Amino acid sequence: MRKERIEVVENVGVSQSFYRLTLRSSFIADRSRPGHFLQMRVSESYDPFLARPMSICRVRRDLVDILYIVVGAGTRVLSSIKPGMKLDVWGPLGTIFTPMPKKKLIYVSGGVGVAPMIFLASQMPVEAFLFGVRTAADLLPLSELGIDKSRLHVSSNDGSVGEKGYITDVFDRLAKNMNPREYFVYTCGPDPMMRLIVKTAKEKGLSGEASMEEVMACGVGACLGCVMDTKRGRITVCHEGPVLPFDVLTW
Amino acid sequence: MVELTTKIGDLVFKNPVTVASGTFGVKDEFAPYFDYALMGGVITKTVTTKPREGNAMPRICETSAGMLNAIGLQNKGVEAFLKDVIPYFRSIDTHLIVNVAGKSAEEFAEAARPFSGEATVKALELNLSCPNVSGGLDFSKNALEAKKVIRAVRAVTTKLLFAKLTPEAENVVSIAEAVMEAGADGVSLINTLVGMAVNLREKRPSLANITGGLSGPAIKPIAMRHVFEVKRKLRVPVIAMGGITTAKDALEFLLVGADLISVGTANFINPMAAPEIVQGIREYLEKEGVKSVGDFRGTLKL
Ligand SMILES: Cc1cc2nc3c(=O)[nH]c(=O)nc-3n(C[C@H](O)[C@H](O)[C@H](O)COP(=O)(O)OP(=O)(O)OC[C@H]3O[C@@H](n4cnc5c(N)ncnc54)[C@H](O)[C@@H]3O)c2cc1C
Ligand SMILES: Cc1cc2nc3c(=O)[nH]c(=O)nc-3n(C[C@H](O)[C@H](O)[C@H](O)COP(=O)(O)O)c2cc1C
Ligand code: FES
Repeated sequence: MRKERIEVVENVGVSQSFYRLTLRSSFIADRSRPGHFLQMRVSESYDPFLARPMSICRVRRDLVDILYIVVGAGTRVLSSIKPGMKLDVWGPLGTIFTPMPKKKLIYVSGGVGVAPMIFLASQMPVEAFLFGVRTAADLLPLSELGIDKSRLHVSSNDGSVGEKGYITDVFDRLAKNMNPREYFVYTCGPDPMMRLIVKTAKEKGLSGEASMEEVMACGVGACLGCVMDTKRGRITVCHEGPVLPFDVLTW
Repeated sequence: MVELTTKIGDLVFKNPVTVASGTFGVKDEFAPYFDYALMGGVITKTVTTKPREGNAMPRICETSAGMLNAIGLQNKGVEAFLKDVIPYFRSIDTHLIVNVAGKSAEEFAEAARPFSGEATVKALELNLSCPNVSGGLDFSKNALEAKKVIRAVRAVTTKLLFAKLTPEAENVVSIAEAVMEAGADGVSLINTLVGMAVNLREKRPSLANITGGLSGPAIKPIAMRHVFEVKRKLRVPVIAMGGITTAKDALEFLLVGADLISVGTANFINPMAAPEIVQGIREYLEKEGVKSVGDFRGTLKL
């Protein structure tokens, strides 16, 4: 592992809400697996101070893509970064999704949690890709998702795109016909969404993996700031997670 | 070649750069990034006699040029530490300083005792100043309490003892004087300052513990003042910490007289901070034509 000062190759809006940041690093590109994240300082100044964890969304040769939505100070600064500028980045970090190529794979993503799902789906078969957003502005174009339209299920809270309602309802409906021996579920999104997905999956006996989100400082298991209680005890989300099997979660 | 070795008591550090307790993991967290042998020493996360769960989440919160933490001394206890951490450091050529804490002078001594016979452990740092556990801070706010702890630990070990003090005491110099009198070999300045942040969106404190310890560049001037005063008035060995993020920060503390410096929160925003600081100190002294860090230390013009 190493910390690098990495060149930003591109930083563009890819939908009304999403930006895509492209970094050049063969070190990271070679080692990245779906589920991994990077620690990224968005500025050399002390404001914002801490690094931001960002999931790896795609790797193309020596290029690494990140997807983000501007929600606060860090992502606001990030959105102003120009190509050619350099950022301090270290990683790839954390646990990864287990490849399950023999299963029928269901991907459930919410909001910016879609990023690692896109990476995973680019390497695995896709039975169904569920993507829940608040509103149409948060949707990504198919070209960014890289998902076959026939496999895609979209819902929005306000009904401005796809089905009106929550993606968890879409999952509940689909899960009715899933044989637990054939299917496997991957999920990344807001906590409340993942809790419902995991609950439904457990009721149906479906196995799967979820990528946790927690506020982080170090990102390498050193500060104990991002701990979570699981059936394996108190673990660091950054180092012993973020990807965890459903059966380890106490949800 | 610039001479960076630094001597405290009989112990010679290859350079004055260490990492601060609780900011460098427990063991090998930073080993993927650099060789620990590049540092003068490693100060480990506080270890207590019994395992501790630590505080509820959320435990950290970003602030202007720093952060608040209320980890609450989460650790696996002395026994697990002896089994797991000590052997790891046995083969690493850097000085291991174990940081211990307890709820009473007796508990401090009990936590310290098992390390007294461990050759791998070169010194102990006594955390008299954790703001995030009940009773934690009190030890170094009160000279009598602090002395009791030092005496109790001194009775069970001949290792170098550093007393880690809080900047929240009314008179840090007098606490430092008291712990030295009681048998400490030096003081670590400073632990975090007690602070608080509020999440307006949720209308709640940002930390579950409500208050937490403030660290990072924001507290550097406060640390500087305490290191300066203790060095000037007492001339005792000091490990300086508080916002040290770059070689320039480290050099400033050396200039006011710090014997060793610790890199703390900076490890979180740059996993290479410690070795980069060692290198930066070396380059600066070379450029200035100073032969050794000893010639530079404490040369602040007043
Ligand atoms: C493992 C991991 C992977 C991550 N991957 C990505 C990623 O691929 N893309 C990405 O954009 N982010 C990702 N995040 C989140 C990211 O690290 C930042 O927390 C987020 O982008 C906000 O940073 P900020 O500095 O803009 O906001 P901050 O200034 O930190 O927060 C501003 C305010 O917004 C709130 N807030 C923060 N995040 C959200 C949110 N998602 N929705 C609503 N409110 C929020 C905060 O609580 C705060 O009140 C990931 C986090 C983790 C732990
Ligand atoms: C997340 C975190 C955990 C810490 N844990 C400990 C600890 O266990 N024991 C201790 O003596 N100090 C602990 N500290 C205090 C640091 O060692 C240091 O004294 C303080 O943070 C000031 O230095 P800095 O600004 O460089 O971080 C902790 C600090 C942080 C930020
Ligand atoms: S962010 Fe520091 S331990 Fe996870």
